[in-house]
Amino acid sequence: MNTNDVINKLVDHLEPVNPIKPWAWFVGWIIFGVMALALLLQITGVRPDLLDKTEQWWFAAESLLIIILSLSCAQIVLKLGIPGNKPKTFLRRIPVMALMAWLAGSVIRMGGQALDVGAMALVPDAHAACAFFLWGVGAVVALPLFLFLRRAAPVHTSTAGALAVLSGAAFAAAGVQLFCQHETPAHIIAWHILPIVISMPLGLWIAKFIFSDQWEKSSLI
Amino acid sequence: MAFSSEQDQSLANLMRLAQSGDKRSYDILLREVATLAKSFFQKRLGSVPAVDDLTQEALVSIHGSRHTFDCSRPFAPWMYAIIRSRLADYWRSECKRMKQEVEGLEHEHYLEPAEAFLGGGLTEAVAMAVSELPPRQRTVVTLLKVDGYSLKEAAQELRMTETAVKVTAHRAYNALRKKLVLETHEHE
Repeated sequence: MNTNDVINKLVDHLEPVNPIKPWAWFVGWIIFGVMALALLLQITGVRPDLLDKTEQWWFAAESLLIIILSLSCAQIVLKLGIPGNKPKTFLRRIPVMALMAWLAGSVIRMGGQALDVGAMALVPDAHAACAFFLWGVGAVVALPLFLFLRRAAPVHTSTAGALAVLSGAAFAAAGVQLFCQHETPAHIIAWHILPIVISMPLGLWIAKFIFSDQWEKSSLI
Repeated sequence: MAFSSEQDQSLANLMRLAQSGDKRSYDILLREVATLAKSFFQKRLGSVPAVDDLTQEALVSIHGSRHTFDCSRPFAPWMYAIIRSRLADYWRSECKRMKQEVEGLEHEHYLEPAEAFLGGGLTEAVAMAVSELPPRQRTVVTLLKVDGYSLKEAAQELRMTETAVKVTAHRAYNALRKKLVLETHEHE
């Protein structure tokens, strides 16, 4: 089949399309994520000291950093779904800075605790349930972003997939903040931060399968 | 490729009409895109049969992605992102194919004459075969196998991309293999 034939076929099969609206997907994703977290909190309950905690600066800062991490990753995913729509440099840097700030803050707090109570402060507890909540709820929250990417036309599919999973995991981590009462920095690093970081290569791997046929030739030709 | 803003606006308008189902506008748009895509691929691959295939793949990809184009944004970045991704996929599959072919070559017995060459020393027959290669292939083979350049160093020396050096080397090895096999059979 020559190029002229391909063009004639594509024109013959032309149908009107509704342009995809990334902002609508963003708002929908946030609503879906909040509903998922609300369901989670129905099961786990909210920590009784939440109001007191919000008055502690490091808790508020930590929560803000997690939310910034999640939202900025989601924004990048939505931009990567559109060919040629490269995220601006400052947007690309936000997730890295938020994650580094969260990790740095936890390490500094852990160091401070170690000076008070000794090396035991460096050892995380065994409450790994947070990581499983984070991954489980994170996978659910990432789903709309993957659906968007399937509907859209991402050129860098692996990066987009990795960021979608990261975004979901961070969103879930924001929810885990609302019920998890294990606050030692070692626990935060081991069962909140590390699972989020680990989710990225997982997202890369998942994206390879989910988007392997994204650009396959149409059955039209 | 630099687009004038008028040209970009014109293509964006055609795509906007195509999104609403206007076949005439879509026909004009696809023919323009085909010309641009073919020129893009030819500049990077030369006049090879793959150019037509890639052009058709780019058109199909654009057809499948037309719902992602935002008419308030420039057309060129959107179009070239799709075209570039088709080229990247082509290179990935070519490299995979070359790697498989090279791995296959290592298991073929008639590589014996070439083993001395691959080991760094040139037999007279191999030296003759290399001297008969086209200039670029001859240079690449000499740099990689005689002078001991790495792929990266050879690419820098020749001001080519590493992938282009690999492709040239692969073609050279194929040509050498055919020549040496022919000569081997002629002497049997």
